[in-house]
Amino acid sequence: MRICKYCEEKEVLYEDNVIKVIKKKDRSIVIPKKHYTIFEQVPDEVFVKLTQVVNKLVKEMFSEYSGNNIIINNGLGQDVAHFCIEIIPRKENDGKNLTWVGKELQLEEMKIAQISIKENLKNPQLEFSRGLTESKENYMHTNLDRMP
Amino acid sequence: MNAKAKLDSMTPEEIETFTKENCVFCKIVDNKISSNVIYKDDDFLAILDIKPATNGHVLLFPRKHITITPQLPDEVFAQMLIVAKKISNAILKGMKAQGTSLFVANGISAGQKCQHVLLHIIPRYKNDELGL
Repeated sequence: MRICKYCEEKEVLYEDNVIKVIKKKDRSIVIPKKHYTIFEQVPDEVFVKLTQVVNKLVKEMFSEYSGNNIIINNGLGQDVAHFCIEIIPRKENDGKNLTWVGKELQLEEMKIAQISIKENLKNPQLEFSRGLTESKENYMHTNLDRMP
Repeated sequence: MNAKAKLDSMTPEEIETFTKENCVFCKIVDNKISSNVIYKDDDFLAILDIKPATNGHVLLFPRKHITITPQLPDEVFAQMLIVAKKISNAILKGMKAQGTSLFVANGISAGQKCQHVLLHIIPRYKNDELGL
């Protein structure tokens, strides 16, 4: 049986019926208690609880730090297969490299991206099951297989 | 009157109007600056970032001038994530990405470059070298 690190985590900063907050190195990790692997699986009503806790933590963090980053890694870049919101405290010159160099894209590439994303917004695939995924290359398929 | 004295003499409402008039994202909301719109509703607007981290990088932001996320009421922030969930899914399918990274910077020390809440939705591809 596969075990989820976040479901099993016993050292919690805060906990209620829906939400759990875990401390990991410098950051606070806010997770729904129920196991959802990816963003799309998290029901809309859970976000209201999540943002209550995130807003509260961020406000508290501002008393000690001048800034913070809020990050959700979904799929590639996600190291634990349990949906989570990470809050990272920031100070001037803290050496954390959480930035990127912006690319210059051709106008045509931008237009293609715009059309591709807009087209797919018409029918978001937010409720799905394993049976709906057609190929092994499908993002949903590969990520659902990571579920414990 | 020097700039500092002028600022001190302004009412909070005047300061808000002044800030809004100088905010690029408020100008985008008011159609004074053109953008590649991905999504819009009564509360939010999503556009393509003109300097993307990766191809298909979307910026989702409230129409109202709000500087940092703790100023967003909980339910508005929740609604923003619900919209982000749809956009993320459309990016995964439309851009054939292997994932998405959502990113918010609150404060200059966190890398915030403009005074308007921005939720970055960045497509992730193998070997994209993005350290988020």
